[in-house]
Amino acid sequence: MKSLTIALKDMGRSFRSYFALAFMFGVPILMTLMFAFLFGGIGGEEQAFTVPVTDVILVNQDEGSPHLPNLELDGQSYTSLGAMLVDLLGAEDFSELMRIRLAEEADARSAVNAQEAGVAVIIPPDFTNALIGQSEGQVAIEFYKDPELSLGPQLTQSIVMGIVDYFSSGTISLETVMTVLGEHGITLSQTELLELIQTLTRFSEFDQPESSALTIILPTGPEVEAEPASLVQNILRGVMGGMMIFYAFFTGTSTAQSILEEEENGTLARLFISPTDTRTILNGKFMAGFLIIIIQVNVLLFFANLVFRINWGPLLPLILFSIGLVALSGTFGIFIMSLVKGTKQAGVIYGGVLTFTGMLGISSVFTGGTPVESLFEVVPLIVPQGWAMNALKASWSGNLANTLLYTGGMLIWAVFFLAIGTARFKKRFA
Amino acid sequence: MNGQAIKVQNLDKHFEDIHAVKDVSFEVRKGEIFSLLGPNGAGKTTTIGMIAGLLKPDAGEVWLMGHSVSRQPKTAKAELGVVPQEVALYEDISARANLNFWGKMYSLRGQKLAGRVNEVLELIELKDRATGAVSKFSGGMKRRLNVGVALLHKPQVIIMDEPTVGIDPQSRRKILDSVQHLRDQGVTILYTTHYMEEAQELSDRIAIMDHGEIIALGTHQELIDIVGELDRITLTISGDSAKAVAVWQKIGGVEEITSEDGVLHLLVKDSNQILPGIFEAAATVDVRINSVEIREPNLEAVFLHLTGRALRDS
Amino acid sequence: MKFLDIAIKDLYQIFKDWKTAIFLVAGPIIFTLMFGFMFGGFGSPDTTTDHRLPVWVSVGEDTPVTQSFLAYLENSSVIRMTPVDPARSIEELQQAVNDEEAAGVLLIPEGFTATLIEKAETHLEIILDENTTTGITVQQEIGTAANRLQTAARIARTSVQTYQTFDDKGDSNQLYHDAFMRALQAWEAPPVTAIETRTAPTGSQATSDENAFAHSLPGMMAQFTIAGLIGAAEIIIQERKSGALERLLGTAVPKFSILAGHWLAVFGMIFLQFIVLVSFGQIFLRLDFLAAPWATLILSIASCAYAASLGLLIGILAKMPEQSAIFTLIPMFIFSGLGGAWVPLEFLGEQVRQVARFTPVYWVMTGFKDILLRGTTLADIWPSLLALAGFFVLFFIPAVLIFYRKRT
Repeated sequence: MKSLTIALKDMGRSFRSYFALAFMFGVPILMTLMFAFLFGGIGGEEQAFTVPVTDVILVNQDEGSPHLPNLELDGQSYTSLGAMLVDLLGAEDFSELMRIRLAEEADARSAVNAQEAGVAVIIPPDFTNALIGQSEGQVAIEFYKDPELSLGPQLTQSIVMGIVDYFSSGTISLETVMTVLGEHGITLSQTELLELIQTLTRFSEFDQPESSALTIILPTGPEVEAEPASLVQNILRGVMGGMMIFYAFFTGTSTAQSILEEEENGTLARLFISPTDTRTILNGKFMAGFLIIIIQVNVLLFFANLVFRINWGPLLPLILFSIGLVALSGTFGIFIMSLVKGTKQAGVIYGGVLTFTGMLGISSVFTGGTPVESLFEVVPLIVPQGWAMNALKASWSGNLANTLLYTGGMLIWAVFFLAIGTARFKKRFA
Repeated sequence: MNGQAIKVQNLDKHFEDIHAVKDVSFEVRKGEIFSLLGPNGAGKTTTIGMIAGLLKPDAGEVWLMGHSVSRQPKTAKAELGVVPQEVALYEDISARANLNFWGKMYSLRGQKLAGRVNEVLELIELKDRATGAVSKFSGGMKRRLNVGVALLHKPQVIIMDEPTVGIDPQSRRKILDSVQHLRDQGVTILYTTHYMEEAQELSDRIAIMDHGEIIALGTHQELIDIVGELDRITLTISGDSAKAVAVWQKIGGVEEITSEDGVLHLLVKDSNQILPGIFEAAATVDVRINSVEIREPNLEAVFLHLTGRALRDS
Repeated sequence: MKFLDIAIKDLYQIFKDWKTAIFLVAGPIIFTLMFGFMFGGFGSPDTTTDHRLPVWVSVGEDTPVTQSFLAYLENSSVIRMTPVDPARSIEELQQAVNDEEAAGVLLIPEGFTATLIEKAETHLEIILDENTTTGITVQQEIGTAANRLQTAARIARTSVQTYQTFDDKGDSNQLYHDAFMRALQAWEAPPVTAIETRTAPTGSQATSDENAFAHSLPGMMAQFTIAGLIGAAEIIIQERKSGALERLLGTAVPKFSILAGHWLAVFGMIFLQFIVLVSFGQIFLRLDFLAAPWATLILSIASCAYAASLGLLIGILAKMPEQSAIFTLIPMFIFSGLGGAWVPLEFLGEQVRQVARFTPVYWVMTGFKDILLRGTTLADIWPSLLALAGFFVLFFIPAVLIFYRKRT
């Protein structure tokens, strides 16, 4: 009963403190709001990932070919395939991805250097000849990129090479057919050859390349509920989850710090003087931490679901994760505070230990769902926050087995921290 | 143990290489005010820390109202209230919330607790400020609340550790009055102080402590008798102090002469009679007396007599 | 010169705790390494580590065509194919993608070869999350490969059709196979290829391996600069709480000297951090800071100056260490997030890219990236220097005003 009294007193003091409330709720929510802003909105509507529009400068050095003096497409004439490529890239279909302009090579390179464009696409002089099999060897389109950008120029390159592939397919088709027929003893007459060429190199009928049928199966597990998350929601879920874990550990540490504060201001001694044994006092202090974190985690989970429409996955793994997080973050705080001499070291604890271990543990938030090298799946597990993050990820993907595994790990950490922390405090106050 | 509120037997405590309390024994009778007087670093706080169960003695034992502090801590502590030297309160909550919490720590609940909280608030004259945050209180108000917390559970024994250090005279007066009021209600009080005047005013008995030991114990009169009915004359001089001491020792009625930091202390039978002789004798050896202070026998003199040092200067 | 004494005293207080020193120095190094490695920091061709996205493939039928297709995919520079047991269920494979064990799973169904030969069409299934950049990348890569396969099948079919007009009794199966394989092989050396070049510090136009640390290190430098302010601000807070500040104000030391001393100490602390990180980057991460030594030095000074002002302001505003933690962590997260230290700005909307310019982290990162990736010099990084000077003023002036107001 006295333990509960002590716990409730500490909880009351925490919830009266604006700064404690800021740590517990304000900052995680603020961070997630910021990311929601970054990615263009708060979940709930269908927020598709918007690829950035890249400024592209085209340099057409193609001299055309005497073998193909005239090309026509949609009623327009072109003197080279390079010119046709430039016109195709300027189509409305690509306008959401690229802003195109033309320039000379030197100007184009300067513009990229000055970050006025993301990529310069330099079409070589022998472009048409190469595509119709009239040049010696391969030619290359140079993509001169801004080194700070990755996705935009990469997409530009994919689009350009996709069109070039289509052009290439005619040449490859012709060469292949001619070679194979020749190997099988067939020689075409001039007329037959012309007919074949026209069949295989229908540049004039260029449309969007006919894509193969690729059926996308979303990786939603059997236990996960219906609607898959948009990219924005995926990102917000990672951020909110990471922030929740990050600040749960802060809460656990700050509530444990109250032991040191009371020791310094004399109220702990007063508690020891009262007919209340050490174990009861410590139990009360520890209980306060756990209760506060329970409230914090539940409020954040609920808030994220309500406002950001974040789907945390099935309930059972989520409950397991929550139990593990409460136990681990509370006991970590007890352990850490049992190691320090007084509140003057709080700065190092908050700034150093918690920030460092927190960021290390939630670092997978920054990899955006990319499967990383196995070493870096392991590195975050050096710190307890890493186990919490893995448990959360397993939970939201509906993987009960992995959730149990990581939650089990969290609880083992928690037992270890509690044992050491309690022993040290008891020795200190013996 | 009958009649004894506190019994301390052979208490000993070391802190690394400091022998803070050396084989201390004493008893405090029920209903008396017992002062532990001594300079800073004498071992008073360590001693009461062991009595309150806050520190574990290296040797010895303590009983509170007949209950062993080491073997029956809860029962013993239930009889005890402590007013620590520094204010020990939760400053971010109200006075009433503080009292409610501490009352629960002393197993008060429900109506009993509520009633007692109101009583204490009246007693310490903070009823009008019961709901305000303690952080907004003046120093004197905080001290009163600090005392109030110790009184909640109506303890039989109260320890007050230098409760008047650093406070204004009016607050000090109130505390001293409240101590006497408590004694009148039958509460036993163990009072630590380095102010001789407080010990003299309040105490039924006084223990003088120095360097971890009790060097004298008794009523005020019994302690004064150690130095006898001797006046203390304190002199500062210019000249050869050794010559001065030599001639003064020959004066009848001069019982003892000590020197500390160039200041001479003389214990004499009748200062009014002896003083002229002291001046004359000094003149014969070319010693000039720069200042003279006369004090009647007091605890300061006792301490000086026992330790060779002044209580104030220790 | 009393402000120097104050600065030295502060620095002593900061560094006498070895834990603080380790955090200030080791923290950003560890994070730089981690993020750099994660994004392929040492990705040069001769390393044995394969940084391509892992894609599992479940092959429903084993034919020369599927083998050819897989062999073709093996040459991808973007994805790394790993065969898995075809008996594994769809649910297991979905879970693998969910758990980020694989970036995607390619399912080659039974009947794939027959459909390809008969209809010159490829029907494939891929398990991936199309709402991630990883999924988009995998989809594009496999889609391109499938298109080429389809084209090869069409070429083979055309070859057979043409052949059959000459000899309808010949071995068209063999011809089909020959044409198909030849077409597929031809895609390995198409007539037009792509060559990527970037601006490089030496100004060369040669293709360069992207050094991911050139992205991660500036971000971590900018971020941990702010994180370290918690400890620095605490010195100022403790001075106030202990009464030492009042004591100092009672001396003949001017108020501004006190502020200057504290600012200088924080500056010194962060500058030391920068020295360590720049040295580390130069020596171990092949980042050529010293290609533009003056630019690196001046930019470092400007970065430390603004951060020190922020630290001073935090120390003056915060009443206790926990407050300084909040006052530090919030701007750290906001500036780092909005400034592009976590998510490259190109992934964010235009609006955000504009807002990013209002964060100091953006300018620190821009300046250092310009030095490392573009080989810019001091004259070229003036926008960053100007912006950081502005941030210095933005934080320093309020710090002075508040301090003076509180002490008047």
